[in-house]
Amino acid sequence: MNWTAIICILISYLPCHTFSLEHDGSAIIHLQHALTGGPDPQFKDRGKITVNSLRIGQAIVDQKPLAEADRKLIQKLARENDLYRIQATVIANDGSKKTFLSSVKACMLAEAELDDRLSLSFDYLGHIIGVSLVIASKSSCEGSDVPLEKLKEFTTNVYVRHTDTATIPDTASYIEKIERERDAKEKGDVKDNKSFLAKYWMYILPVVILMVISSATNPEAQGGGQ
Amino acid sequence: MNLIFLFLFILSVVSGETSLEEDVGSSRYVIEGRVFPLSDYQSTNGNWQSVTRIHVNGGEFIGFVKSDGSFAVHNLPSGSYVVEVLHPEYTFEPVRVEINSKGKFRARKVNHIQISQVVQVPYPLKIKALGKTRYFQVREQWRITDFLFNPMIMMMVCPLLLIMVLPKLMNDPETKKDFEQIQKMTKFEMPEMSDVVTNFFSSNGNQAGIKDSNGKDKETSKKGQKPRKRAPVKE
Amino acid sequence: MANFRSIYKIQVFLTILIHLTVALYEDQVGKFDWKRSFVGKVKFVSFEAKRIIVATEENVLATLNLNNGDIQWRQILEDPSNYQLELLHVNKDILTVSGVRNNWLVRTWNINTGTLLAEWVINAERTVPSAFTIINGKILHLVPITGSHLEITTYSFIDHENGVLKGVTRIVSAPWLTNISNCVFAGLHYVCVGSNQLHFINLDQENSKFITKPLDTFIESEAGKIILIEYKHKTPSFLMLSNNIAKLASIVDENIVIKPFDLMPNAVNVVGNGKDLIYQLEANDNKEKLIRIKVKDFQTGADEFSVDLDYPLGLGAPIILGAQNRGSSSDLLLSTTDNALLLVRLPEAKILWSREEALSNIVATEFFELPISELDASIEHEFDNENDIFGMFSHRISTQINQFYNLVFGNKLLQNSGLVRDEFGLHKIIVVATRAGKLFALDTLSGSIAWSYRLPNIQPFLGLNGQEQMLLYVQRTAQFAPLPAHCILLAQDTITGNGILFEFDPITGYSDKGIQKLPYRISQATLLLQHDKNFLKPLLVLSQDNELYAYPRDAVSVIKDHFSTIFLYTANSETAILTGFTLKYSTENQMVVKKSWDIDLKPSKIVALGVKPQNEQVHSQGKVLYDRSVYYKYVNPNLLAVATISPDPMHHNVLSIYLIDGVTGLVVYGTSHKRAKGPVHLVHSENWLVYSYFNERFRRTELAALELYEGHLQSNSTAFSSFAVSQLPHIQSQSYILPLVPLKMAVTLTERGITNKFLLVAMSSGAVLEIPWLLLQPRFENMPCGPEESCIPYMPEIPMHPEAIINYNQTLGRIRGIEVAPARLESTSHILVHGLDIFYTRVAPSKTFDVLKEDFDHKLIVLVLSALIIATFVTKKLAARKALKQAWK
Repeated sequence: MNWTAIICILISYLPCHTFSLEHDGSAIIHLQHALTGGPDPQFKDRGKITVNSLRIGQAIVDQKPLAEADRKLIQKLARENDLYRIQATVIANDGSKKTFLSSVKACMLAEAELDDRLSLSFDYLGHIIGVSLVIASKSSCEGSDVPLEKLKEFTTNVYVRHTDTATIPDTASYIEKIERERDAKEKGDVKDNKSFLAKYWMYILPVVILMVISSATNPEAQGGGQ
Repeated sequence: MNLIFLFLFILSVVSGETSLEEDVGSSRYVIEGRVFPLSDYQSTNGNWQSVTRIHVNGGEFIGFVKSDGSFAVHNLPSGSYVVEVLHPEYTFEPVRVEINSKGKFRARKVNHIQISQVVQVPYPLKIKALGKTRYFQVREQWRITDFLFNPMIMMMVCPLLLIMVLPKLMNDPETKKDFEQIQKMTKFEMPEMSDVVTNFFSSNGNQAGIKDSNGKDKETSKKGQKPRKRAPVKE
Repeated sequence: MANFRSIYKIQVFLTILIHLTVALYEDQVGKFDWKRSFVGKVKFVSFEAKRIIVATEENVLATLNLNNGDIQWRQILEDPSNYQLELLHVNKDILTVSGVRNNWLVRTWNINTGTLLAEWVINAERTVPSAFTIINGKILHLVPITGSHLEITTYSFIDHENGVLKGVTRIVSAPWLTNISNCVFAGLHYVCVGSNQLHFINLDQENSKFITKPLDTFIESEAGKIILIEYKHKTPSFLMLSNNIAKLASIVDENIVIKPFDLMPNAVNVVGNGKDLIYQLEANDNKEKLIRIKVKDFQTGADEFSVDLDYPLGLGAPIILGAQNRGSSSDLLLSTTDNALLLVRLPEAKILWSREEALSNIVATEFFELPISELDASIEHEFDNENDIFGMFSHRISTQINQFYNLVFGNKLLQNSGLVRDEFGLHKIIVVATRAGKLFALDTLSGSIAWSYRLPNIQPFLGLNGQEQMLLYVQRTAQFAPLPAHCILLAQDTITGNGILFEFDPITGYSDKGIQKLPYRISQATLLLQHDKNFLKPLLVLSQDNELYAYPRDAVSVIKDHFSTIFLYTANSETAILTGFTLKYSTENQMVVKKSWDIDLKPSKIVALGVKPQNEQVHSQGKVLYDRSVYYKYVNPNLLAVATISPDPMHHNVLSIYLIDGVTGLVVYGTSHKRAKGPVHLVHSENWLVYSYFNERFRRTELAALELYEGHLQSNSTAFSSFAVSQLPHIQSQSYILPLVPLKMAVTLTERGITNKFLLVAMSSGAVLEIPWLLLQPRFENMPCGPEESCIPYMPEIPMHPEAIINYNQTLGRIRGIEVAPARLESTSHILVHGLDIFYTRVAPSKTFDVLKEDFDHKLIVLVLSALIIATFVTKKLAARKALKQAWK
């Protein structure tokens, strides 16, 4: 239940802003992951992600199901509350190569049943600046034991994220507003939008009080007369 | 005159969109001008020139004011500059000075909101103080008029005045007669009410609501006294 | 939720309180603010009767009062990184030459008022280091051309076009010439030392040539490298320094005459009372009077007299800048290695005044709470010996009697030491580290120096954009009495570049370990939140080869359980790479840092980095919208803001802002501004970021605000974890025009974060403006905006009210930083603005809602109350009498 909501939010975030990517491009990402844990892990191939168009942001994920031994390693990582690290080598369409490291808690990955999200951040020209692995979760964990059958295959969602075009000071509408006000003033129909009562309440109130006093006394006066 | 203005406007629109950034030429120019202090300023501060500074583009270039008020900022390549006159006690309006690559100067008012709007000012610059800078809030002083014209006070005082003054007027026999005449002529509520008030407060003591001879009661009378006063009427 | 509503009520209440600007009243001037003015390290000096004219390395020209050292007037010239004063000449008027490379400004000033008299420009062709002098009212510009010749250009003030002086250049052959630093002026002569030869030229004569003399005729050949030092005298003279011994040489009739006596390297000439004397400083064996002033006769070198100077211990080694004789007495102006300026009056050798010019360049600041008074501390000791009931009883009675005594007769302790905590935490100590390597503690009440400590041979780190900074960390505050407060300064060694660590008590300046030289270069440092048994927060220092060190060393045992939650990051401005590290694989015996993420911002350049203040409290977790729903803030304490600038052929420069999670390296948000250039100033606080930049397209400075929200659901409400990313924050953004040039920006900080926030902007004009955050907060689209929503309608240009200038007419020179610290009073923040001047004040963004106003009239309220009470009794009596009368009727 929660997951679907999260995905929706992640996706709806994308189209609601205008992006400032000037040239379209593509990128190939070779993913390696470390299943051994410890301070100096060994990286081995995990799969390949191809982004054909940065502008559209569609990605083709090519990952094989995990071997039995690898699954056990992930289970072990999760149990020991170690980090699951990936190394992403990004080859841009101009041939330039950049390597990024990213880590998540292995237990969170296991608890999410290998459902991870890869965030690819690009600058305004389409140069990649960061690759981050993200697990959609509401809370963090301190180690967990997940059965092996739940650790079969990565279901990776790739998010291509560009920079926003920044807003500029909105002078046009302000000038319009000022001009509208000036026009209104020139026409002379600048009404004090306060009501009559709001304006003269301090004069009206004493009068009203006096009236009230008199009306309160009158019946008795009449009564006395009768 | 109109035509010129129109021309300027068009020119500025063009420049506003395309040529805001001009190439920096190799030759150097001087922005000149003169600062005119307010009249009270020379008498109070004989040494205003030394504390006045000219900042061009926020201190990128600096000028100082000579004793006659004139200043010159040297060594400027062509470009667009905002010239500010800084003085701790007085406020001056900044001016934008544009020097094109041919060395032509144009000065105009700084308008950050409407970039394309050009209000030209003469060059060499003549800058006059807008006024003394008001850094401080003025402490509210307690004034009797402020106090009296406070609506709350007015609300309290006006009825009080009516209450106090009207009975006095009523006590005057001639006016009383007048009122009685009016009363006879018009059998309205109004005079009756004034009558009520008059009778009510004729014995003007410390307690606001003393019962009058007619046995009429009033709302403003103290609640604790009400039952005691009402009793004789009912009996 | 109910709790939330109440917070919201407070917020609304505060919003109503603020009137956009919270201005001072005129009678509050100087009540809680103070300003100290400085001139910088003195470069040139000239005595003129009752005043001293100084030209400094800060490119400042000023006159000081001879008797008390006060600044009479000060003119701040161009930025010292671009312009340097090269010549100060005083002759009725002051003449200065300042500039760099080949553009020079020649200015003359009125000596009494500091008003500019005239200004000219010199545009030289060559850009090599050169020298200026004045001879016969003409400026001579000497440009050396290595291995070839010397170009002497003479500028006369009559010959100029449009302010640009025209010079006449002549060339003097000098094939031996290597460097201008080998040459000095000696009166009208210019003297250079070459290899084994001395060359001099008379600049006053037309067509004069260099005259060469072999060195060995007047100095032994094995004397080593010879350095020439200027010596001002009526006969053209100079000092020749070799092996730290100076010889006085004079040029007489195209010959060099060496005086037979030895001198110290800093000797000055004083003429007066018919005597021609040399003043010099010598080290003294006497521990109490470290410096001896020795006076010698110019002709014979015989000792006239010598006097021991009672030299203050904290100051560095002095040199004589200048001297003058005033009849019976003479004045010496000394400058020390820590940039202090001293005036010594002879013959009594009294230090008339001293100026700590090191304070003109502050590189680190920290505010410290003062310790509680001894009396308050003694109350805490009551339960020290719990078994002795009588002891406890007598202790309590005695302290309470003391308390009562203080209440009635005023606090004697407070008056004696002065440095005692007050009720509202308004009295603090500000510890500042200066570029010159001297620490000062300033008292917030008076601005006086409580203590100072000189650290020789240290220099600041070079941060982003060449900004110099040292690092100050508060390991222990003064709350843990009787343990004193503890502070650490991190800096760099000037020689090796290795780290320097200095631990001290910020209240007294006492250090039991002294300066500790670290065997590595510092890359990053962070203070942890846990504390050890001595209540010291451990400081982690990362070296440049990624080794981690903890201070104090045994603190590792305290943090060993937290290794998996400690993360570090570094930002390299050269490679534009941000790297994250984890301490997860550390053990108690060995701390290891392992890379956990990286971000590569190439080809952009990192220009600014914005982190949130570590001690910031976020009080309200969300914003209440008009429909009474709550929009939760995205408050990520690990969020970094990074600003980069990339040169772009189409858009000149593109500014990009990235928000990066410092634990996972996730780029939370990125935005870019085309045709925008620096300087970029970032202010990062709570769930928002404000930054300023220059828009090249519209040629104006703009300010942009970003605000981050989680939405209507709060994801991790108990504790924030960067690993648990359930949704990316929603970004609200809006930008504004700033009609001024900002030099620095900061945000106010209060104890609990309930008070509204003000942005403080230091402007190039020398004023510090406060802008309410409400004015900048991005407005929600399609939502009403009015006072009910505590929302101010959008205005593209930020209004500049002079009432919002917190330093009113106290213009500050060259502001370099704004430091903010919370007071214990929720409404109030301490502000220190430093640069060429130091200005301290307190601001209350929502007005002082938690204390009575200072103009609260206690007398009036007592008067009114007593009058009412009396009136009540009187009326009671009258009423009784009336009732009696009524009853008799």
